[in-house]
Amino acid sequence: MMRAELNSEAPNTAADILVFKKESRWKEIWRRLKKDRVAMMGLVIICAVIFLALAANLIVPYSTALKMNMKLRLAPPSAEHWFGCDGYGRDLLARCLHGSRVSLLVGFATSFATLLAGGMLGALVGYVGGKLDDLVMRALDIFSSIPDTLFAMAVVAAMGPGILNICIAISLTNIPGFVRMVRSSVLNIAEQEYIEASRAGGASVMHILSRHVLPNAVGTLIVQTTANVASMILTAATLSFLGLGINPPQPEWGALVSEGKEFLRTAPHLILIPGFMICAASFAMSVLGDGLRDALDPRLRT
Amino acid sequence: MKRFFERAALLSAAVVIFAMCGRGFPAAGADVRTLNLSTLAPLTTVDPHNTTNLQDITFLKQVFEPLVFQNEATGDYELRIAEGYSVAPDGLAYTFNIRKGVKFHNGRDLKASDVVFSLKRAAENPKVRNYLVTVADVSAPDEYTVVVKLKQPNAAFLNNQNMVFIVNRAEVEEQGEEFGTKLTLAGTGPYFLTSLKHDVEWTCDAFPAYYRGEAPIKKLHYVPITDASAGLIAFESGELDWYIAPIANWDALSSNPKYKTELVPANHISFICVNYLKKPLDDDNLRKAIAYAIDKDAMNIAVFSGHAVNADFLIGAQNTGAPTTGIVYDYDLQKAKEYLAKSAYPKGTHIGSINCSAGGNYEKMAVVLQANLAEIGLTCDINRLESATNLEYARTQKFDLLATGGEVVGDFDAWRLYCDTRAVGAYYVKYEGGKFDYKKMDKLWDDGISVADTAKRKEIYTELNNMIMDTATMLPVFHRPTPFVWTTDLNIPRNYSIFPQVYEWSWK
Amino acid sequence: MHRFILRRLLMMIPIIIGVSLLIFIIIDLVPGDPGSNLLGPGARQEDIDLMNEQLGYNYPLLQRYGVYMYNAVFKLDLGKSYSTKKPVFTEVVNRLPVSLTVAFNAIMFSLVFGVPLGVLSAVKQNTLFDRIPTGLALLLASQPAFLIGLVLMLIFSLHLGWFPVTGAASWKSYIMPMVALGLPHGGRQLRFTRSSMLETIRQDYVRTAKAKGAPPRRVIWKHAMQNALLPVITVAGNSFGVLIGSAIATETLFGLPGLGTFVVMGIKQKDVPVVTGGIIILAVIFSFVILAVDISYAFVDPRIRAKYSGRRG
Repeated sequence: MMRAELNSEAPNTAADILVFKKESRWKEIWRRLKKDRVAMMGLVIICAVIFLALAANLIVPYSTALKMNMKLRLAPPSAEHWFGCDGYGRDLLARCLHGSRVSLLVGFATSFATLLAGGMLGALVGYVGGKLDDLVMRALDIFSSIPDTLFAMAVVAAMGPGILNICIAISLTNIPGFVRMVRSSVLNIAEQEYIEASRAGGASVMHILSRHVLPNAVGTLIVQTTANVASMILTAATLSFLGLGINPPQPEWGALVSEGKEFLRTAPHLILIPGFMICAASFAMSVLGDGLRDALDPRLRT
Repeated sequence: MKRFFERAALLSAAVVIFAMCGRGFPAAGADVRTLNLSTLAPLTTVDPHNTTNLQDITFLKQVFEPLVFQNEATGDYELRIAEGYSVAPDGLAYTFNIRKGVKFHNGRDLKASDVVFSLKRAAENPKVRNYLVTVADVSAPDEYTVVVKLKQPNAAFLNNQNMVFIVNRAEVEEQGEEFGTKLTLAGTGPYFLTSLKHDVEWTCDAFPAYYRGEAPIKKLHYVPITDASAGLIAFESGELDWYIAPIANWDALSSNPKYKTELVPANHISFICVNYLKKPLDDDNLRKAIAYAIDKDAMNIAVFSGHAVNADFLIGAQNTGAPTTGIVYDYDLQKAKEYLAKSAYPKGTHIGSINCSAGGNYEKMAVVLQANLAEIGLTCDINRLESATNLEYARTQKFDLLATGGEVVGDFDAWRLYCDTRAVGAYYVKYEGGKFDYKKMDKLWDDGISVADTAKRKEIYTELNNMIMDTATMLPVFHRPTPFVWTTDLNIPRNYSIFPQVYEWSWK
Repeated sequence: MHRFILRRLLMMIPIIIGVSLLIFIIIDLVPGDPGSNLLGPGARQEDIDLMNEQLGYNYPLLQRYGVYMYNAVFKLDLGKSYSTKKPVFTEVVNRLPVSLTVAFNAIMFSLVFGVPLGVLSAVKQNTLFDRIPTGLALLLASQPAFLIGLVLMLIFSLHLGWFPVTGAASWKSYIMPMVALGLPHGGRQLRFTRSSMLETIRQDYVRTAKAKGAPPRRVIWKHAMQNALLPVITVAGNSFGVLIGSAIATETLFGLPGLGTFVVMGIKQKDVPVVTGGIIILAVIFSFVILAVDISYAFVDPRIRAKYSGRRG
């Protein structure tokens, strides 16, 4: 069992601890992560997907993803068109490749926005506490008591379609949960003895936040953000299905799946292939998140 | 901990039992076979004067009846609650002789006063007021005569009556504000409501005292199914006896001997609006280039698997006054390029965006249109909008191009709303105050309904159609197909393009 | 404890005010007006104006909000739907059992297979018993609900004829929605149970118990399970609260008249009373569910109970 091995490797002697401290924390985490084969598989998959998304234009030009040919309508996968063709006779492979750009962009951008906004707000209210904490948390209660999908739909309906508005809507629905999580982990850390000690020693709020609290909360942030990417890709797909996706003819995985829905029985590849893409990306991000959590777990370190 | 789980288990069991209480199997085993039908949306109301929703009307037509009924297939007027009518020579008064012995489902006799009440009630509701907009006064000189006076002659008046239903005054007044939200027996149609849950199901029985004779099929059961794929599966598993299938599955269905199928072109037109008030679309040659670049065949294949009927005119030939000759834009890349060369704009011009409502046939039209325009070197974006937003932008001319469509029932005059500059707010393309001779257009609309002779009307509408087509601002694309499927033990003499008439159906 | 519950109930008041105002404003920003929406294409401006006047939509936003809240608070009247003219309150009450049943069934179903498999994969970490369920969970959790629903329909309605596709008439109609919604949720539940269980197994007291030579099964059931399941209950409660209003795709597909589709239709038609009323009720239910979860937490864990009866939650 891997966990047992890790435990047996835990530093036991004073010399070990000395070595351990010299080794930077990130290297140590990377070393642990490398041992987690499933997480590494996730990392490889996600790197491959990101690479394909970035290199999409080199592999097949964007114009191919838009080129219609009614003769090839609903064509099954073939040597010429590996993934077959869609309801307009457009090459599905090209659409999947170029679609990955938007899907990943939405996934990463919203996660990053949530991380920034939610992380800062959560750390602030968690540490400062008092009236500010009460006020912010009650305001967030309002947001989180509205069902996510409905809220996102209303926001997109009010602001109009487009990638930016979709990102805003998805981020807004995710921020309250993120704030709560960061806040509680900050509260946890703030109660630790060493923080109390430095507070008693007269350290400033900013100093404690930046030197002690945030570095300790960073693990939780990374893990949560990684997991968020997966769920955001899915949320974007769901919004697409509900008719709130990005504008055609720009391909996006969720949009490809919902376009394929009407052909589920006549040309199932139109829904299965992009569906598999979503699955693979969210699988990769999820296992990577799991692996990172394990690697970052302080209980495994000492 | 253990106690907690025990309590939780008890609680959940109680909730499940509670939730399932009263949800037995639907009553079955009666000796008359129930006809199972569906609508694409829950019933919004059973008040026929408070809806123009196609799904509502499709059902309400089985329960409520108008004075006269226009047969969708033949275009002829059939008498319903009126047993005869006459038109004054100046066309300003219609006298209806009300059929004697017509009973409402609640057992009351239908009198002229019910008809007067119904027409006046409909004229007050903004939803259906449109059909009675030319009416000046309605009166009942005796118990079985109704006189409708018009402000101006209106050749489409009878056609409009098709959508104005007669209800029982006493019952509507008894139910008051609640009329429409609960079970009602205020209709005279071949079927009466026996149960009503707007969102779940509603049932009807054949009305034994119906004046044309009791309907052959005795029981109807309706469910709303919003998802077309789910509806088709429901039909195939025998939960529905008749269904308008998704076109993507048509080939498999029509070749299946287990089902009967019929493909009927709908009395519906899909069209593209071009906003000539915006640059660069104000260029006449550019708009004509667009008109010739539209590949109707490709659109037909992408949207309806090629089963739609390409349209040359704004309205199908089966409708009264519909033009059959005149200016037509057929896909012609050569001409499109010529017109583009004649225009003030070069290849590569960005002409704005195509608005469409999200996730439907119009979105597909927009996608093909964008590709068509790219072929002659014009670029544009697509703006897929919530249908409400789309409508609002269309009304307020906040669009460059618009892929849309609509049902047109019976008469070329139905198109007036999209063009008549006096119908403020109704039109998508605003001719009023623009560079085209909109005053002449308005006059032709008025002329069109002021004469009764159909041939003369057709002549007027042909001229009008040519004027509109010459502006290249409203470009007809196709009439969409309606793919009907039904079980082989059901006899259906004819499927109508919009409203089914279950009264004509029977079991084998 | 009573003070805690009372406090939480009072806290719902600002939430309701906040939620209703927020939704009122957002829906007001949706382009268009209810009149033109209800009348559809081809309606004249004069008819639209008349319709809006009849609906009371012509007043300024804050005035409409004031009237709405006055009626809601003092008359328990959430207004009438613009399109059906039916009272929103009755509409919501009629739809509530459907939404509750669907959400409850789905959560129960997800717990029934998610929790045991989650515990199993945590206990047998990094073996096939771990890999297969977690892989399956990820697969399920990343499927759109409509896809699972359609596939279920094809198999169980069309080919096997076990369950009806349509209607909310009998208990049979609720089986496939339960599975379609419960499967992805079960996937999430499984992953969460697994990680919560792993977390607990690594706690000192479990290690101590192990080190003291307690039999592994006893350690897992007695020490680890009870603590690991607390967060699982929270998550399940939360998901239940969320699912009541957001099972939209499933409701649409199976034709179930639930609250999610009700509100979505309202958003699409700019039906302000429907959206506001629907979301207020959903928010209240959600708050109650969360409260119930917190209370059950205290019920299970005396430490938390002590904390609640002491200072604020």
